[in-house]
Amino acid sequence: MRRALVGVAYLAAAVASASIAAAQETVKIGVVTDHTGNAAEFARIEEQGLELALKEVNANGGILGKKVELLYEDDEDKPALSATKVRKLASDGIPIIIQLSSSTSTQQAESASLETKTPHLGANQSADSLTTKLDNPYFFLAGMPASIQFKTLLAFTKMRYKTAAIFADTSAIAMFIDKTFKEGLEHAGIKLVDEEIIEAGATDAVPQVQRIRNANPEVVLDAGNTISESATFYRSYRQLGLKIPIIASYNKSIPRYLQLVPGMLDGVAFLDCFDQDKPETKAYIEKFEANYHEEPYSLSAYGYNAMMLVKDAVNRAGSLDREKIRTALAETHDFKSVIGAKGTTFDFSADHRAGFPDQGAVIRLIENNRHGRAIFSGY
Amino acid sequence: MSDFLELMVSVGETGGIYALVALAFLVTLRPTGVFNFALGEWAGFGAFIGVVAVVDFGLPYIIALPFVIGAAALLGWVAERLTVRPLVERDAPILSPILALLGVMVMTHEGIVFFFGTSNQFAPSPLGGGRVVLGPFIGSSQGFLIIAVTAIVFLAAWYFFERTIWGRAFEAVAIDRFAAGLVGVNLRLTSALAFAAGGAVAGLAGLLQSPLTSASYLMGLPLAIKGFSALVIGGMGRIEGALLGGLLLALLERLVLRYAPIPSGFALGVPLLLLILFLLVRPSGLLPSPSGR
Repeated sequence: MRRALVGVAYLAAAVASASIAAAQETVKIGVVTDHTGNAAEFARIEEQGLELALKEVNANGGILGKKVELLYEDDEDKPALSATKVRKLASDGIPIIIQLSSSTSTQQAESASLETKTPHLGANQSADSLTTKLDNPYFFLAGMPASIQFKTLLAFTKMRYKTAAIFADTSAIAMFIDKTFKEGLEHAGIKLVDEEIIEAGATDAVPQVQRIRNANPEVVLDAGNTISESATFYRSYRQLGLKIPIIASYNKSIPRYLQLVPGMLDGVAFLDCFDQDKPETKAYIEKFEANYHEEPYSLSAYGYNAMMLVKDAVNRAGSLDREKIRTALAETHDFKSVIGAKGTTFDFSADHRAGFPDQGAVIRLIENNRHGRAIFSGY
Repeated sequence: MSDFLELMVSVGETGGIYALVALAFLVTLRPTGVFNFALGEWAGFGAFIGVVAVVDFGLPYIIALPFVIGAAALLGWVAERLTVRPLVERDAPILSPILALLGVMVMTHEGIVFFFGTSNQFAPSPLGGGRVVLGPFIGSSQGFLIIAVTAIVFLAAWYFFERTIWGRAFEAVAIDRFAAGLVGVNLRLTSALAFAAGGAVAGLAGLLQSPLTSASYLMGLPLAIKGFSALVIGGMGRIEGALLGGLLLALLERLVLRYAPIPSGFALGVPLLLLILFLLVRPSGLLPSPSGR
């Protein structure tokens, strides 16, 4: 009897949420983001792109002929809270959710989107495991997977250098990047001549930079992840006058570095998802500058891209039915995105829920304290 | 040789910061007997107040400096008044104010996150961020500034404790609180001043470090650990001990990181391992208190 009652209650809730979705005057899209936690700095920039896309979509007739509204939920980049926020949005009848917080939080939130059968799009995350660890047909990843990042970065390194040193900090992500660099260097036949770690709270990195200078590598791979320690490393690097080229992970696409150590990253080649020569990206830059009166960073384009993917899928689905939207997202093909290298497009399928193009990662240069031109792409 | 001299500038700069935090611990500890672990966060507070003053309000550094020191001193004064004094006056065990100050540490940390956020903030150096060559020594302008300011602060602290009546009062309280009270030393004021002075020195340390690392909500805890370690190495009884401990800790760190034939990831723990060994051999630190306390 109790089971039957629970079943009826679930059915009633499902019918109610479906009818709310069908009857609503606006299309409500859920956004799980971080306004107060460790990923807040990045999410804030990504939301700029998301809001720009929202403005553009609404100015062009919205989705399914209705205005679009974004419902933000702050998960503080805490995994448990992230899952709770996805459940909340799902129970409110939201047809699709975009997530802007970290890979760790998104991984946990996936359990809720699977449980509630709600289409869930990770806009910016990079962990490959997001589409492999949990068999969640409702989750799709629009971020640039780490595997693609490393292949591109190592292909670029292999073309130019035979010996390398690595700099990292003690954070878990830096240790992961460091390990992946080491494996990649070995695979590519590049000799690792030195590896330096800088501790949390270090006031300078003079001993580590001296050791790099002594090892005399042809290139330094920057696996740093925490902002304070990376800033400290670059200060010491410039202070001791080292001229050895540096290739950095995606971490150095964070614009904050340009403010914290102005001019000190000039000449650094870093991995990014943004190719200013791509027509879609050029158009995005113009729109962003017209709207915000500032130059966009690649992070903002993740938000824009996610909104446009959602618009494309829901319009093709022709309804706010979650199953239809999931199917439409899985059939996304040849989607021309503002992120990814020139000539590449986004493709999802039921078996391949990470849509970022395999050859989409680019290497860019930091020039005059700005994120400059792309000099390499693919692998 | 040039490698070694570069390293010595790094030792002076890093050791100076450690020594200042150790001094902040010491000036609070001596007259009150209380370890104030909130000092690391107060250093972070000083760094962010510096950013507000210099970057947001555009104040010249020379005006921002007393502003930062005053704000951090006020924080120390208020913390003493609200958390330490009520417990001392109720004859609470010595662990109670230490625990209360751990609460202040968490509150300060959360306050920094609430008001300044989790993003690192750019903190400009008053002398610019350039590379400076002084004879055979190469370093950053901020590094040389830290060395100079540390020297001035320690000279001033030494003069205060050794040559002024207020300094002698502090020392009298440190030797025998009850007897000092009997001869007319104002114990309440001494305690409040000790916390304010500790806050001021910690705030100065944070302000000086921030141009090197940026102002970060995470900078407090490592500073507290390094400052406390320096204090233990140098000895908890004398001003010179804080300076010696800071410089020695920085020297050990730098020498191990630079010359030990082990990967730097492993080298990071070596100075603290040496610290444990050092304490086993000399538990009172390098320079014990002249009073024996």
